[in-house]
Amino acid sequence: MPETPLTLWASLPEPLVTVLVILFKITLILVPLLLSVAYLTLAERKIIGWIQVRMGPNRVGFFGVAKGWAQPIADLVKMLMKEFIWPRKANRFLFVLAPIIALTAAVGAWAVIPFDDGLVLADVNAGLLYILAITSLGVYGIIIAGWASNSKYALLGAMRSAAQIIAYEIAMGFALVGVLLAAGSLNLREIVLAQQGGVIDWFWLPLFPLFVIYFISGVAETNRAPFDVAEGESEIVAGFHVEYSGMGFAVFFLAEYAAMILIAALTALMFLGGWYSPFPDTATETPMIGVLLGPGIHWLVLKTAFFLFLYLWFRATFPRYRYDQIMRLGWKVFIPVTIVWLLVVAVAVMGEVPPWFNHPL
Amino acid sequence: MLTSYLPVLIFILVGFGLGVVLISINNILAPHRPDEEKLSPYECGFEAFEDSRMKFDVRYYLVAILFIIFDLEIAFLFPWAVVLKQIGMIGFWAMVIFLGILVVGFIYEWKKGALEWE
Amino acid sequence: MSYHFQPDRSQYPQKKADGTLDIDLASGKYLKLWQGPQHPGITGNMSVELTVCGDEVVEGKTHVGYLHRGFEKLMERRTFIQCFPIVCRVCVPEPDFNEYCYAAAVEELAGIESPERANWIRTLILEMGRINSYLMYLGGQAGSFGMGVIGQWTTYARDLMLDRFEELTGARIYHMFILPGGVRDGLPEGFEKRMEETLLEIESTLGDVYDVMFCNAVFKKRAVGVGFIDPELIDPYGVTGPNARAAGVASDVRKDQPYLVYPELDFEPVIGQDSDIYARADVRRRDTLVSIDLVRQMLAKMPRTGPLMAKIPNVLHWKIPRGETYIRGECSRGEYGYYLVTDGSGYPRRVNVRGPSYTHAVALLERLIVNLDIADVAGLMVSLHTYPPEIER
Repeated sequence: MPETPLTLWASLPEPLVTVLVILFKITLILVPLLLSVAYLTLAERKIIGWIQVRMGPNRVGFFGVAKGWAQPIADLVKMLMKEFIWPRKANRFLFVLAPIIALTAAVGAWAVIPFDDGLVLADVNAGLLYILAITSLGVYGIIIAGWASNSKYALLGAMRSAAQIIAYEIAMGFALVGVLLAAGSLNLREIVLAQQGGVIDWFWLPLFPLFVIYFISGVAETNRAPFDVAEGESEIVAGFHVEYSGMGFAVFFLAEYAAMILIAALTALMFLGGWYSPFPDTATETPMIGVLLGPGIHWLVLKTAFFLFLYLWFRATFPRYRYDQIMRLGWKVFIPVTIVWLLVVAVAVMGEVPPWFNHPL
Repeated sequence: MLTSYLPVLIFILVGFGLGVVLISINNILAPHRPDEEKLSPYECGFEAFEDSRMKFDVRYYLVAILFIIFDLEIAFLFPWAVVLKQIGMIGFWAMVIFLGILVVGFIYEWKKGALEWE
Repeated sequence: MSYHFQPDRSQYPQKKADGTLDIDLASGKYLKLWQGPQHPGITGNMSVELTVCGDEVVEGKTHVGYLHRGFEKLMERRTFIQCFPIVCRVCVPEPDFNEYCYAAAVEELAGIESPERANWIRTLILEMGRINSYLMYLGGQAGSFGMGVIGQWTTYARDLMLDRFEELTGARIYHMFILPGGVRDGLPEGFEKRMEETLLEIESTLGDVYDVMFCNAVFKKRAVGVGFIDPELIDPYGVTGPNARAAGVASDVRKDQPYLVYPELDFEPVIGQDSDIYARADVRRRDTLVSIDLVRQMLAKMPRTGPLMAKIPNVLHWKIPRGETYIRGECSRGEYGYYLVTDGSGYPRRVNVRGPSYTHAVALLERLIVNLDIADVAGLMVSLHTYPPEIER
């Protein structure tokens, strides 16, 4: 019998098929993610440009059309061709390991993000715990980069950046505990399912302080304005990645933007109802546009895009906080507020306050 | 139960491999022309004054220790939050006592100034 | 038992017998950093060598000289009219004051009086230059704290004003318009109408800048209470201009020793109280609005007819009798002056430019920078509004 692709496929051993299917799904997640990261850089330059009474990149195009839209590709090719400078006396292995750790930490969390009911790579029951753990590993990338660069500025910048990140991670952790109290499960899909319904049913309302603090801590975690003291050019110039060039710098850049998209997606999932639509369920009955009005992955994309726009808007509008002001905010303002609100939510959950907490487990 | 983590492991490996591939392509495609000035550490155009392996402030160490304590607290809060409804009032008050002890510690370190200047 | 936290003063360096600080670089407690000439947070080319303990600056030493072009020596070798294209290049962002002070000094020593209409046009140009300089300052001040938006908006507004300069004088930056004896030309047709449009646009931009920058919570946290200039330092250090006015001292050469047509214009010097970075920025913003009002007054009151140049002798063989004079004016940064000495030959014997930036950027900065957080150094430098080109000519 001639070998058709189908029989070839059926004759492969079972574990290999599993791995190949997983790899295919990973490609389905990674390729849009990397494209999003690349075009987020373009969106940032364009949007901030328009806020600043100028246009962003509008020259590099595809064969003369879509001017400006090939800018990220041009930047990627340029970064690939730039010399990767190994500083004298830098610890070579650690020097190249640092950006890879940062990228792995930012990208690895996407394995458990549900894009729609059932559309998730790995539906693990401890999804939120996994995400907290793997985003915490990103700090290693920064510290190792600062140490391995053999430069005073890099080391100072790395330590300040790391101290800032871990301070805000506590506030984020407490906010996540609040979400857990409200949802009753660590599984991200079930957290979204617990927010079934309209806008009032989503968690942003009962957990409002936690929502605000989670997002702002997310901005501080990714070292974005107004908390980007580590990259502040007027102070310690370029911080922990001052000695990196070429792809090393680009990988740090990719990791930062991937983390931004991750935080935006997590905020949308945990506080804004994920793939649920703000229109009531009856909207799905309307002919033709009912599919758009009902729940689906496009709502998750829209909400994530909204938070990314907030990221860019903050960067354009606010000056930089000073370092001690950032630490004061993280330790003395956010942590007390989150602890107090946690107790409030716990009491509300015990008392089964409608309409959010009176659903059966 | 562990089999549901296989995609996660492969994803992490793919992410790691992505970083390795990108940097390897860069090192293959890009020119290598090291010279003395390029390899020296950056200092706004001047000679670096000292070797960069300098002593750093003890405040960073303090922040790291405090972070570990609070992170462990969060780790204990996670399972409690998930099963709060099943453990009822007793579980709630047990965690309030735990949080209370930690809040007393937080107030102590606030007043002692461990959170100052940073 | 007191819970109030006291900072550990044992960390700060002690003073040695001769008054300098006892800093032991080898102890690892202090770090020497250069906020050098290649640094995005400085208003020009000068560098500050900082000694830092943790996050706080313990001592700062300014190094200037990167922009020394030898102007004053150049002018000694050129005739009076050949100096005229050089003077405007001394201070790059606000060149008109150089032209005016030099022209007025030459006129005073040569005994020439510039006509009425020329004086009005001179004042108009000086005020337009002042508006431009303040707009650039606002952008730089916000940029030193990390807010790039303001710089883009004010550059746009400044560009409109540069268009007005171009149609009036023929050039955008280096006008070479104010000659000894008068000005080169009058106002073109329709200038008032276009100027009014430009002024409206600038006012609208300033309104946006106020909303986004001065009402911004983060900017206030960075700027209020930082960089305090003690009013007692004003006289010993020779602080003039908005730096002094924000400390409550009403020092404005336009009012104290009026020149040109300022006696006929109606304005009050803008005073602030707090003397921190925020107050200085606010004083300069309000001063810009006063300048806009002055421009409007001038366009309304200016004579439209009359001579533009007084009669001056043949400039190729112009010999000015012996004498010396000092002409001062109020530029956007403070008191600006030209000290001119002539000896009867066709060349100036000595020209000395007194720019306000030397005392502000070198002496005052070294005084103010002590115990400042390193992140605020750039903000402080910009808030003193110094232009390094005029520090070392």
